[in-house]
Amino acid sequence: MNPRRSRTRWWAWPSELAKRGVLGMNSRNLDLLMRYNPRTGYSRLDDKLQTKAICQAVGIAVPRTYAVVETHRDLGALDGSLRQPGGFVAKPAQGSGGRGIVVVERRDGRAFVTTSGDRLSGEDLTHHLAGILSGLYSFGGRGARALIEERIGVHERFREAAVGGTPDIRVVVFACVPVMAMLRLPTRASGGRANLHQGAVGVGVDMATGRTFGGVCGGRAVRRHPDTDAAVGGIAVPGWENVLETAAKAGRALEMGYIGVDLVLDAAGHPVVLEANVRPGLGIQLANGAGLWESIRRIRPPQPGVAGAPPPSQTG
Amino acid sequence: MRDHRAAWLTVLALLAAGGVCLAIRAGAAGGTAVLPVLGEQRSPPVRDTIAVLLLAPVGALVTALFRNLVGIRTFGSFAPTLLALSFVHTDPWIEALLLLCVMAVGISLRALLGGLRLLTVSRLSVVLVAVVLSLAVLVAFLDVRGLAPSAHGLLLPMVVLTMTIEHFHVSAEQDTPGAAFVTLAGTLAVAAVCASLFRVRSVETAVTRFPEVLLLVVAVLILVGRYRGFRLVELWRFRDLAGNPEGGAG
Repeated sequence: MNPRRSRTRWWAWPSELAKRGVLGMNSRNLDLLMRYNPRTGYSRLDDKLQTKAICQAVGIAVPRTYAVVETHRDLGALDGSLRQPGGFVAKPAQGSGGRGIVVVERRDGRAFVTTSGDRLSGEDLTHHLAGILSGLYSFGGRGARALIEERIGVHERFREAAVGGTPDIRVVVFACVPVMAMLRLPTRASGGRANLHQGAVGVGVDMATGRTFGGVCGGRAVRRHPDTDAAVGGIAVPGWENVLETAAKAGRALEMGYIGVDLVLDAAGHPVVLEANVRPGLGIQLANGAGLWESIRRIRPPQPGVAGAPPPSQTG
Repeated sequence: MRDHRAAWLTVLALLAAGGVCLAIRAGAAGGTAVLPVLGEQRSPPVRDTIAVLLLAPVGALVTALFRNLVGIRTFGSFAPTLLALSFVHTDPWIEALLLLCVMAVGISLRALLGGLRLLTVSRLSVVLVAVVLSLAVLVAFLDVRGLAPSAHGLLLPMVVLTMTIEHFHVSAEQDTPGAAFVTLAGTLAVAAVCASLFRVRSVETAVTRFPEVLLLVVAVLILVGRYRGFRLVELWRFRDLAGNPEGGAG
């Protein structure tokens, strides 16, 4: 590391960022999303139910679906699905950025206790689901279906470094090749959610070894988890090759050229795909301290618009 | 690339069309010959309404510049434009005060409504009632003191304010309150810039006398839409990436 590296700079010049291969939002939208993600395929990823069905069809593990709520009338018939011993996750089938997700760990009498310790009554939960149905958390306010699915617990390797929720692994996949990954650790500030802009900690993962390094939280570099003070670097993600293979497989099955796959590890260490993002965020570059173009440039993609086919040759 | 060429051709065509129209009409009769349909012979309310319509694309351009070049987040692509248009002929301080008061009332009410467990459409409508009442009361109060904003603009902010309040609330709950405030501040800041631009006499005169100027606006919008460089905010956000690479990068 350069010992003279200044810590007080307020901005970088565009040429410096371009040299480091940093991907900006405009470039992501014009050069990657528009060229490699065909518009017709967006619904496959925006609708989590479709994503799960496609993944299951090619043998990728996904959380079990307990119930799908389509209309307000269905809300009354839910009681059985909500009595799962391991808790459950209620989320909009169409939504992004972690919005509208409620993770219930267990029941306590008539109340539902979330992973961040909040207690919800049956009425609270029904109201939340009604909000999902009315399109509160979905794109353009369109009505969405609500999904009740299996809750995957925290793997023991991450237990010290996560608070109030399950950490997940975001892998950015370009032309079916994983190019960058980060481990996202929930915090108290994020309410147990694992999205960076909601306050979670993002830690870079070495693509070759699966070991974490660095770490950012709220845009600032962090070395330890803000709540537990556990070191976020140096964690070895179990079954890393399996994680990468699963992400690549998902990219191929979903037939999109530039996506972010979110996975969690179940208790046995097997990767489970939660969802895939058709507009993956740029914060992963901060977590890894590297630009996405650096890795993407090395891959010769198939013709623009022909997504999902493995590239003819690749390095790195 | 085919789409690159198409974009540039469209831009050039628009510039040419707009430029030629302008040249012809500005040359003829010293610029006072306007399209009879839009002209200055209209009655003041109609003229004002047409002015508001023609200024809207200018606001859209300003918003696009702020979002794609600067990187400021706003609630909705058109909220800043509509907010600015509502009070075009009003004193800026009055306008700011009106907006802030109504937003404060709306946001507080929306926060309280959470406890009632209403369905979405119902809840949005209650916020609308609050917005409408606040606007009506404040405008009537200002009118008594002779400071009322022009009438035609007031219908515009109803819906925008209601939806902005709703987006703010959802963002505060689902993201973080800090992020919601930043986005709200961004929305109001861009609205303020649009409003100051609208107030410049020559801008309003230009679009009402020479509506073909809007063709030039479209040309610039196309260019902005093809800009693939960094946003200003990203120069700050990714500043730490510009140094030497850290160890361990894969």
